[in-house]
Amino acid sequence: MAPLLLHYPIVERMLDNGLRVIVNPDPTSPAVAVNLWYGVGSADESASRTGFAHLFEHLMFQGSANVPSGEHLASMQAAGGSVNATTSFDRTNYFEAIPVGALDLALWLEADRMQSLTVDQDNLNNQREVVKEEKRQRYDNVPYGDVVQLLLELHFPPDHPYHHPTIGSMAHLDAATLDDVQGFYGAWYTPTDATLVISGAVEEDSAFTRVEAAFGSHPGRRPPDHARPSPLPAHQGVPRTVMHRPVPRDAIHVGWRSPAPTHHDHLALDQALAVLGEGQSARLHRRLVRDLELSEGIGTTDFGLARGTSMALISARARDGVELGRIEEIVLDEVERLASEGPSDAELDRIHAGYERDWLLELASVDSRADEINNFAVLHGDAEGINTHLADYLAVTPDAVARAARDWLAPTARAVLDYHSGDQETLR
Amino acid sequence: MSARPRPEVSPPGPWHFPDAQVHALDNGLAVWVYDLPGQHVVASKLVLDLPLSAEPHEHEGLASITLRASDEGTTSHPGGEISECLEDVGATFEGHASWSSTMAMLEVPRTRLPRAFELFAEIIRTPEFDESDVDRHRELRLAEWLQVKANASSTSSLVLRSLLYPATSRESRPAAGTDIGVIGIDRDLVAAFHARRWGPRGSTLILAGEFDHDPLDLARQWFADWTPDTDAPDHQPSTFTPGSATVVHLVDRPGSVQAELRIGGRGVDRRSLDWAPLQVASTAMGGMFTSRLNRVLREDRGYTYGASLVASPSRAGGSWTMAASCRTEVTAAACRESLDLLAMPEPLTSSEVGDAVAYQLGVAPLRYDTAAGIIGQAAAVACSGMTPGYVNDHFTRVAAVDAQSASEAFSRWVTPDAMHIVIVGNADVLRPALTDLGFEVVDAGL
Repeated sequence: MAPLLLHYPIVERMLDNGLRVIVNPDPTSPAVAVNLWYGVGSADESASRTGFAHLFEHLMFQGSANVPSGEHLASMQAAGGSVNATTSFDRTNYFEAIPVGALDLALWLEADRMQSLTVDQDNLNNQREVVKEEKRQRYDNVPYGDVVQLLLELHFPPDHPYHHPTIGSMAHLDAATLDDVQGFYGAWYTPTDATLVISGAVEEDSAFTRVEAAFGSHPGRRPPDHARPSPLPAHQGVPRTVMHRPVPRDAIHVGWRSPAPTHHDHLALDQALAVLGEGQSARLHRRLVRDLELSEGIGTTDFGLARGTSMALISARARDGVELGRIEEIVLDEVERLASEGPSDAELDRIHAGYERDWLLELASVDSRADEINNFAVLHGDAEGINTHLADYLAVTPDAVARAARDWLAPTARAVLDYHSGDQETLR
Repeated sequence: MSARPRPEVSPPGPWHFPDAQVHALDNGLAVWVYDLPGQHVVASKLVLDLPLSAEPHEHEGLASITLRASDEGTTSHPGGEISECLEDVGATFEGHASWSSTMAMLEVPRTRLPRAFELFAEIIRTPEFDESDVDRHRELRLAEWLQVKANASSTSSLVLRSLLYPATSRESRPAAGTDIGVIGIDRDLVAAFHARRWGPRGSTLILAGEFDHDPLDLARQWFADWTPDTDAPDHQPSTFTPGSATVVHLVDRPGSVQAELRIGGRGVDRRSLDWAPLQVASTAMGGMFTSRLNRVLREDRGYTYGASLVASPSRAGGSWTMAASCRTEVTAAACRESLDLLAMPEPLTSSEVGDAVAYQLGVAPLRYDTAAGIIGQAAAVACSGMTPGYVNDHFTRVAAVDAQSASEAFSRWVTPDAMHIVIVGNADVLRPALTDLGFEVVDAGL
């Protein structure tokens, strides 16, 4: 059955100061989304200053020249808007979804904090404590909460920008001075390294006029060079981390170094992982959860890391009393079978149909659409990618999937995290 | 620096929750259709008139296992074939069994709705319930229960639930059951529960999206001849246990680096005149970034990543819950300060309430910008036994809430003798700190 191929209008201009502006007018939307990406992510942090990119996500709400602390969030919510920000390895994004009558205010607030940040010792101290609570709540106090950090340490060497998680080191944050903070801001928060997407109920010309009025007078400034590590070679010798933690069940994560999302093999590899792990009819779900009943649940994912090397994972939680080695054996067996035989046409059609649904849902709302536009603009270099992405995804063939599994998921190139239930110390 | 003047916000134009076309099939199934041009992923949700009180007491969790096993196979597509068929057309099937209803939802690109809807009806009407599938879901729920108990956040919420509702109430225990009830669930119990409890009478089928095919025709084609002989449900109003603002129910979780704080009490349902003002007051107190709880506990004190207060209506009754995760050393102080804020020494101001009203009304258009968003709200209304027009009526009432009505509703429901306090964390540190602040500490657990 023919997929629904939608076309969203995309208009792009660059201000004199280097701010890249992309407008997706959509008169059918009840709101407008403002989505601002700064190119700085945790991968740009120095190894002795980890957690800064994420700390900034907090500090950016603590006030600027004309905006008191907390006022950004307060005035947007009072205007009926939702506001948030997130930090990843590769970028920091700030976004508002608002009634169109609040668009000028949203742009003014973003422009003010792009040009001036008024952090003092008190709100630095306070937000440091808030970030520590965030780390405790999301990572330290939850079962399996350290898995991502262990996987990053397993897949990336200590001097690699992806070796540390975005939340960073609390010791580094404790050591941060106001000067460090202002320095980081001065280096990275510049229109020249930012991309602004506006999606929703505003006309193209009006959107550009408003953006020019808000941001046009900011001086441009080149940011430092982003960390651009060379792609890492495949693992050798099956590195393995064995952990023991007080969790209810053993879990295993079999991982590989994978290509960045811009690599021509990325979509095929993504589909290889989906054939293995996406949905109830996926091969590994069938075999491990349903037929052999060795596992409570399985999943596959690629982290989508943009700078040379990403991380592909097959994860499973064991049923009570099942050896992780038994699960690993079957994972590898299915990976090898996929690499040698490829998926059937029916299997790949199923993956394509499911992806079409997910992609249409992703683009249905202006807030998630604006973020995807930024993703394609910044990480892939072309905002129009949102209009061609689905066709590219559906064009992948069974042969390409088999080849990707062969090239990127070789059993000899894996690294493994065995996460055991129990209180023993780390064994290597 | 010369700044451009701060732009004014112009008020949003009128907005209404979309109207439903309401139909009823002869077998008693209500059909609500939301025609939403531009929504290319269509959603359909069946809201069964099935409260958890229908479960046999010795097999609590049966409603959840029945739902979870339903899409493993059908009589026409056994042994997992049904999931392949659904995935062939890019459809997902999911659902959950809540207090007053079991709900099942289909999502699919609009071009493939007819085939997906046929499969949806097949799952609802003729699930296979193979013994191995039911056994597996029973074991998976037992494993899930261990994970729930290992997690401090879910533990705190469930302990609060056990205090808020009396033990005679099904609402005092987890919706998906605990090991006690789940362990004895088998294929025959599941098949019988489905046969006696899943039916059209009192239930609502909701469809939302852009339609290439008449959704009412589809509903008729696949559900008009659904006439099982089912038992009528017995909806019981929620009952509550009185509480105390001086007693802390402490769950020891040795080694925790943070403590989970929950304070909760009795609230109201959607039929109550207090629902709109209580919802607005809760938003002002703990539903926005600048709400009193978050401003003090996060922004002033740095005690927590976030503090919230949410009022939740149920079918007949309701509750409210304040939540925060705090580092162990400050948890007792955070608890004391939360109680002081909940006591509302100063009534809510016009500015606080005005912002909360604007926020509630302003986020609605985007919250309800997808078929799934619309269907989620419509299903909540349906499982309360109300009609689709309720949503816009509620927005009208929210718009009319002022500082006085919000403060009064809050004071009526958030009272010291109605609240229960739960803390999950390192008891060695927490107990003396709480005692020092004058709390009576009682050991609790799941």
